[in-house]
Amino acid sequence: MILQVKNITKTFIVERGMFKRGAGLVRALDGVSFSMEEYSALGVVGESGSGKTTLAKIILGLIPANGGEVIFDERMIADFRKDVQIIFQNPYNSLDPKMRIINTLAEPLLIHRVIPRHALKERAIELLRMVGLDEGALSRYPIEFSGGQRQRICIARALASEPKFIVLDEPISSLDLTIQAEMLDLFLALKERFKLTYIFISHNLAVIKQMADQVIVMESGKIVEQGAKDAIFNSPAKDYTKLLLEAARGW
Amino acid sequence: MGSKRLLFGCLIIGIFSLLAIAAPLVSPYDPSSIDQAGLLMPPSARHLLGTDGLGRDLLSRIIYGARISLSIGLIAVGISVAIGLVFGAVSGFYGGLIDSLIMRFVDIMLCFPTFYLILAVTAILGPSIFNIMIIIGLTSWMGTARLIRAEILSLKEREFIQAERAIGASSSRIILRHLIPNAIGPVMVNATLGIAGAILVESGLSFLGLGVQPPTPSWGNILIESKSTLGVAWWITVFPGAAILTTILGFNFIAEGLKKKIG
Repeated sequence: MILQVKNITKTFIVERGMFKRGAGLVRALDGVSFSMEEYSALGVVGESGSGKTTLAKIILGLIPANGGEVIFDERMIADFRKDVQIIFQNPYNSLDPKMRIINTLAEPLLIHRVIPRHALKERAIELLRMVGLDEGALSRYPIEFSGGQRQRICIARALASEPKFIVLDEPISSLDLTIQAEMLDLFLALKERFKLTYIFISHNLAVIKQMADQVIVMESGKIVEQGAKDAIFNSPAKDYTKLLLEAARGW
Repeated sequence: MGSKRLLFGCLIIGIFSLLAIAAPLVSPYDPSSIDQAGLLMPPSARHLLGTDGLGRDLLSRIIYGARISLSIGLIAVGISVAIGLVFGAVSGFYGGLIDSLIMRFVDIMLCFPTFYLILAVTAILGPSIFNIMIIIGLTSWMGTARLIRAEILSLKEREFIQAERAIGASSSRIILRHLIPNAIGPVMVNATLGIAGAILVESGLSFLGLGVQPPTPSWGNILIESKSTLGVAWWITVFPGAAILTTILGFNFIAEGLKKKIG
């Protein structure tokens, strides 16, 4: 088991009114548990508001959980911040707009001392090539790139520290349809090349079908169904899963 | 429109800055040398802007005064931006108790009428160019702090800051390399206005005799000397006043232009 998620609970406090009276609680995650084998691909599917992104952020330690545990196997994940990375949904918002691409890519390399300082540029070019861009991108700013290109840069940054585990949080849903397929191919190629274990979060079942071998179906903070991809797609047990499949067919 | 204003402002400030830097070369007389030929001479070919009550060339005094007034403006604002940046960034980034403490301190500082605070401190420490720069700086950083804090509060929720956390960037790296560079735009606009404000404060202080001490000329203390001869020598009041007005207008143009540019 490379990752074990045990009974994660997360509650957000929603403040209402001028004097913050009548504060309400929103259960974003409610007793979520699952585990993953090395080199496996887990698909997390659910409609918006089902807690998918909250789950991703808790796994990455970006926000604290109210209860439960996220345990990475220390034999495989020795340096958490180096070995576990995330790709966010919105590439327009995920790169520092004031920073040239070369500096953005150099950051993880510098922070984790992956390579000596003089080899930074060379490594940055190598990373760009890997995601299908060229060295012309180095001295440019994020605003000069399209959404797809920006997402490629985000992928290059995530891969810079040579991670073993990646969380992809709706990585293609804000991209054009034509680019989506290209990106999925890129993910699959990189997965092979770097022996990655990943969690792929999406509301799109067709994408999950292509990218995952295990699937978790979430609804309002709870896991309603989990299992092997084929089992979920061919014989869903729960009504909610059937509903999702139904909706996907219509679309 | 924005870029035209910016250009115009830069032109004005550029000219004044050049004059200030090259003061010994461009001023026709020594600012403290006295022309025996006459006191209170109106503008003429010999003294382009006339002479003051001691027979000193007004143009030279205004040019040398630009040195003092502009450098007080720049350095005072430099100090205030530095303080505001540190307090604002820490406050916005860490939040919680630290944020509350710093913001209450800002509120307290804002409660004092700044000019009287400056007056009181100058009265205690004594008036000198150095003291004035520091005092103006120490009493004008609150706006910058609030501005930076507000910018950082909204920036730190953006995904690129979360992405930095995910790659293991330290808090200081995130503040210095990501938050401040992205928050600095509005601060620069504010700072430009601050320079104009500092020049005004200095003029006011000098006018009250608590600013730059004669014989060192500053725009403010040239004005105060004109007070007693206002009825007979309009030029000693009008020209330094016009210099202050134009400079402040210039800085305001730059600020407006920058604001439009940044959006």
